[in-house]
Amino acid sequence: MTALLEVQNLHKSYGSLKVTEDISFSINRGEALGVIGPNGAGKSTLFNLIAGGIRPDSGTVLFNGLDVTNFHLHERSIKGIGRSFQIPHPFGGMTVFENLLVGASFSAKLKGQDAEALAIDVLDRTGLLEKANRPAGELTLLERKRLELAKALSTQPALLLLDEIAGGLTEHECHELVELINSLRKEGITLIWIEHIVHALVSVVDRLLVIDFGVKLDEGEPHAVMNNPKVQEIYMGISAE
Amino acid sequence: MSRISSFEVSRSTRASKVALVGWIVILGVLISVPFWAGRGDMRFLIEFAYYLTLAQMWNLLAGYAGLVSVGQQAFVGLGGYMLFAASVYFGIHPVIAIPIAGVLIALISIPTAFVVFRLRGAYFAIGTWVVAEVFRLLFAQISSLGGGSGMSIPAKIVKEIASGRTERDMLIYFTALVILVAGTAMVYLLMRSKYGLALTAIRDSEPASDSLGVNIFKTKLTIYVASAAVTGVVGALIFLQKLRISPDVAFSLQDWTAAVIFIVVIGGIGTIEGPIIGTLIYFGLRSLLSDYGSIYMIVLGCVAVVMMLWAPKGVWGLITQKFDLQLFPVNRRVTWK
Ligand SMILES: Nc1ncnc2c1ncn2[C@@H]1O[C@H](COP(=O)(O)OP(=O)(O)OP(=O)(O)O)[C@@H](O)[C@H]1O
Ligand SMILES: [Mg+2]
Repeated sequence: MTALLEVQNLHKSYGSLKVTEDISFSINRGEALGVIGPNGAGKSTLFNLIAGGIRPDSGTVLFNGLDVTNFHLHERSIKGIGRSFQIPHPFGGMTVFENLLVGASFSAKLKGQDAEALAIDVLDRTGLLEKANRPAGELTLLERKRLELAKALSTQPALLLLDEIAGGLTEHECHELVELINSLRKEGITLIWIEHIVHALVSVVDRLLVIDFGVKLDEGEPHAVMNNPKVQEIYMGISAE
Repeated sequence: MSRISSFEVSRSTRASKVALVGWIVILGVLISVPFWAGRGDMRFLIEFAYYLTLAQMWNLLAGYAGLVSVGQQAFVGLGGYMLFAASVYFGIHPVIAIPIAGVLIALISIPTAFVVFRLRGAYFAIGTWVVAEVFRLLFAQISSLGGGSGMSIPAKIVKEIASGRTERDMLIYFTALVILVAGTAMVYLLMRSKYGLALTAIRDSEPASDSLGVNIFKTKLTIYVASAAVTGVVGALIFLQKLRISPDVAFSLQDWTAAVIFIVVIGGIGTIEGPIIGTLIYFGLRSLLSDYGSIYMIVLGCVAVVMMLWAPKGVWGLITQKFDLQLFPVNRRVTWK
């Protein structure tokens, strides 16, 4: 089986601050990988390196066997890498429905009614159907996070990158989110999910990747990783929350 | 699930349907003007039409694509000079020369874009102005086009434009009307298409639109080129009416960009309705203050500053705050059957 995504020896520094240090991992088609690590560990940076928001100082990103390291963000999106932003970026001047038409038209490259049908389907799945005609700028923070997930899905991604979308959800909402993500997995989406809410993460993913100070600390089966003393040491504070 | 198969996407509202009838009536009246109005009225309407078209183009650029240019006079001047060169030196009928100027200016604007797009924000604005100044100085050096003092279209060519003076006025009037309607329609159709979606997305968040597959550079370049081409076409029209051109008039910052920015800001930036209202206000103020000379510019400046502070969305913004109105419906509304 060829890997859908292969990340090789990625390095990224901001001045003297090493944010990503020699990170390598790969993920097969249909797999789900959870990413954990303390605040400022470099998790979102890793997503930006994969999705194309920033370029690495060195290292390679292979997607579907293709070297996409120097591809623009929009090119990677069209190739099938969809991502949500940790801090929501709604298109405030558009309706929620129109927000989804952007990805459906430009990334999934659907036309007219096909794009509209995808937008409506994604709104329905993410529980935003009622808000279809609302300006996205009027949404609450939780709704904005849902819109982030919906926008990522509107690109019909092969690889979905989710950056902390469960924070602030009630137990019930969190359960719904896990169900939605599991149903996406059944459809064949490959997933990388950054989340501090470890129990939600563990109920979805096959493997965990732990990052600390830009370095890969551990990777493997979730329970084995959580039982690693080094992981417990740096992660105690967060998993106890 | 049941709702998914039974939705409909619409844009028109009752107000916009009434507005459409209104636009058709206005267009009908405008078409009839040459058959009953005087020369002066037609001159006024031609000027109104070209200012409104310039305003729609600057609004497309600044209001929709976020490219705040103060150098659109570059394309007005180029359009004018191309009309003169084509008709005087190549014997092309001036009205035919107008679209040719548009195509050539579209081509010229591409390398220009690669220069100014390297700059951001205020530097972009200054860069566009510098480009326009370079063109002005350049044309002042071309002696075959009259150098710094400019040139007039020879009487022989003027006579060839149309069979008589009335016919010539009528031809220029209808050309202006066609350019206005086509320019406005271009903005409207563009904003309703997926490119309009991309432009609004880019305005609201560049990283998010990029990650949703929007090619930001290509989108902005397309808008820049389209707006330059139509601005050039208007330039050709302006100097066809004036029959005389000089570098200082052709590349005038005050006439072709400052006044246009005033129109768009007063009327309401980022809307198609705004430039229409802004042009009405501009011409209204101009005729009110025409006897007071330079005070007129000072009053315009004060009105602009007050509007920017009190109503940054312009007069049209004030109107839509009170009434849910769209005369050019762009937004999509989902309804369930
Ligand atoms: N553009 C930037 N310039 C300088 N430093 C940056 C920049 N972006 C991120 N950093 C720094 O890089 C480090 C890693 O940031 P990153 O956002 O990747 O962390 P994270 O693991 O996602 O944290 P969190 O859990 O808080 O979201 C932080 O110390 C951050 O301050
Ligand atoms: Mg983060």
